[in-house]
Amino acid sequence: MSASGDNGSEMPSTGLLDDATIEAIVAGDEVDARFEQLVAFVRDVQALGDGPPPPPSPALEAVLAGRTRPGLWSGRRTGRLGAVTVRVAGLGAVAKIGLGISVAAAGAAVAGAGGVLPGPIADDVRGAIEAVTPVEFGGPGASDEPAGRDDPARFGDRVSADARGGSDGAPGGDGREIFDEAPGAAHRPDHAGPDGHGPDRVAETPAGTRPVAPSGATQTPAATAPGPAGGAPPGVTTTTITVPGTTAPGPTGRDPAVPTTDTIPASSAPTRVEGRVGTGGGGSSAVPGG
Amino acid sequence: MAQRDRFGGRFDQVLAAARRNERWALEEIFRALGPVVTGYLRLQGSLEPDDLASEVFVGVLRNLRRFEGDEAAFRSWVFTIAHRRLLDERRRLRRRPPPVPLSELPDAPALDDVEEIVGRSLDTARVEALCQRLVPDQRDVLLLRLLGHLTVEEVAATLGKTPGAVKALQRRGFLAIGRLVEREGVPL
Repeated sequence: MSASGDNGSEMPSTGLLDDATIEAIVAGDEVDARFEQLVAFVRDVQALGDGPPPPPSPALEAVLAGRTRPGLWSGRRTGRLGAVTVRVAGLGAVAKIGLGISVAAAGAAVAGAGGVLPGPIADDVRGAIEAVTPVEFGGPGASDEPAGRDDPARFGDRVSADARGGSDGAPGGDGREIFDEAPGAAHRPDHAGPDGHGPDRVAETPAGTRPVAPSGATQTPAATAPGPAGGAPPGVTTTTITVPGTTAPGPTGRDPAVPTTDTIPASSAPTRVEGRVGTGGGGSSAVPGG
Repeated sequence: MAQRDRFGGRFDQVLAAARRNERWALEEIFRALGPVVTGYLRLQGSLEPDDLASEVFVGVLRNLRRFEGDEAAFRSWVFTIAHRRLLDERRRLRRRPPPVPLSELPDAPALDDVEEIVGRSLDTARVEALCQRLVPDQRDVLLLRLLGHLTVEEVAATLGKTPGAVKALQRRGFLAIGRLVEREGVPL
C-alpha cells in the first residue's frame, strides 16, 4: 500500500512514533517537542467537539419532545407502511378492536364483490353493498338481475325512454332494430328474425327519414334503387353524401358544382354514408331509391 | 478539549431517565454527544453533518432500550451508528449526486462574536483539509479515536478490523499528518 502517508520513512521529525507516544498524544498528555504539530492537530480536531450541538431536525425535535416514545420501536421504519404502523400502535385498545373489525368487514366486502366467496355468500354480500351504496354489480350473480337476461326470445323487451325518443320527442328505436351505426353492423348476418323484426337488422332507415319512413324504406342496393341521376350500374352500391347546410335537390335538379352525391363501387365503399340535410328536424333528405 | 466523560459522572441516571422518555435526559444525551458526532461527520466529509447528526440521534434515542452498558460502551454504540449513517449517506450520494456542491456554500456566521467564529472556521477548514488528504481507513481510525474517544479495541469493533490493524492505521495516519504539516506547509 503506497497511499499518502503510508511510508513512515518520509516522516523525518516524528519517525519514532510508537504506540505509547500515540496514546499520550490522543490523551493530551505531555510528549516530546518533536510531536508538537501532531498535538496541535489533535487539539484542533477535539475542539470541534466542544461547541454547541447542532440545531435538531424536526424528526429529532419530535423525539426530544416525547411525541414519539424512544425505545418503542425495535428498528428503523420508513415509508407509508411505517407511518401507518406508528399510528395504529398509538391507538387505544378499543380503537384497535374497532379498527380490526372494520378491516375484516372491508375485506369480506371486497372478497364478496370480487366473486371470490362461494355463490350464495357472494350474492348476499353484493346485495348488502348495493343496498347501502349506489354501486351495482352486473353478471349472473347480481341480486336484482333477472334470470335469462340474454335470452334471444326476450331481445328488445326493455328499451329506455331515451332510446324510444321520450326525452326529446324524436322517435327512436323500438328495441328490436339495430342500426347500421351500431358497431359491428357490417358483420352482422343479413336476415330477419322469425317475425320479420328479429334481432338482426331488418328495416334500416336512412337518417332523417326514420320518423316518417314507410315500411318499405329500406337500404336498397343500387341494382334495385336508381340513383339521383337515373340509377347506378349493377353491382354498384349507391352511397349518398349530403353536405350539411344544403338542400338536396331532386333527382334531376342538382347543381353539378355541389357534389352532394357520389357513387362508389360496392367492393370498396362502405354500405352507406349519410348525413342530415339542413338544420331542421323535419328537413328533406336524399333518399336513394326513395 | 473534549473529555471522555461528558455526562459528569451521571451517565447511569441520565440513561435511566431517557429510557423513561424524560425530556431533560434526552436533551442531555444530545447536548453531550451531539457536538462530537457532528464534528466526526463534518471531518469525514459529510455534506449535511448537522442533519445527519440529527438522524443519528433519532436512531439512538429510539433504541435506548436496546442498549446495555456504561458510558464508554454508549459512546462506542453511538459512533457505530454515526459511522453507519455516514456510509449510508455516501452510498446515497454515489447513486444520486447532489445538484449543487453544498460544501461551496459557507454558513453565515452569527453577528455576535464574529472574530471568534471566523477564527474557529479557519481552524476547522484547516483540519478538514488535512483529514481529506488522509487515506479513508486512516481517517476513520484517527477521528474515532480523537472525537469518539474510543479505544483501539472499540475502534476495531466499530470498523470490523483487528486491533493490530487499527494500531497500524493510526500510526500511519499520524505520520501522514506530520508529513503534510512539515513538507506541504499546512499550518496548524
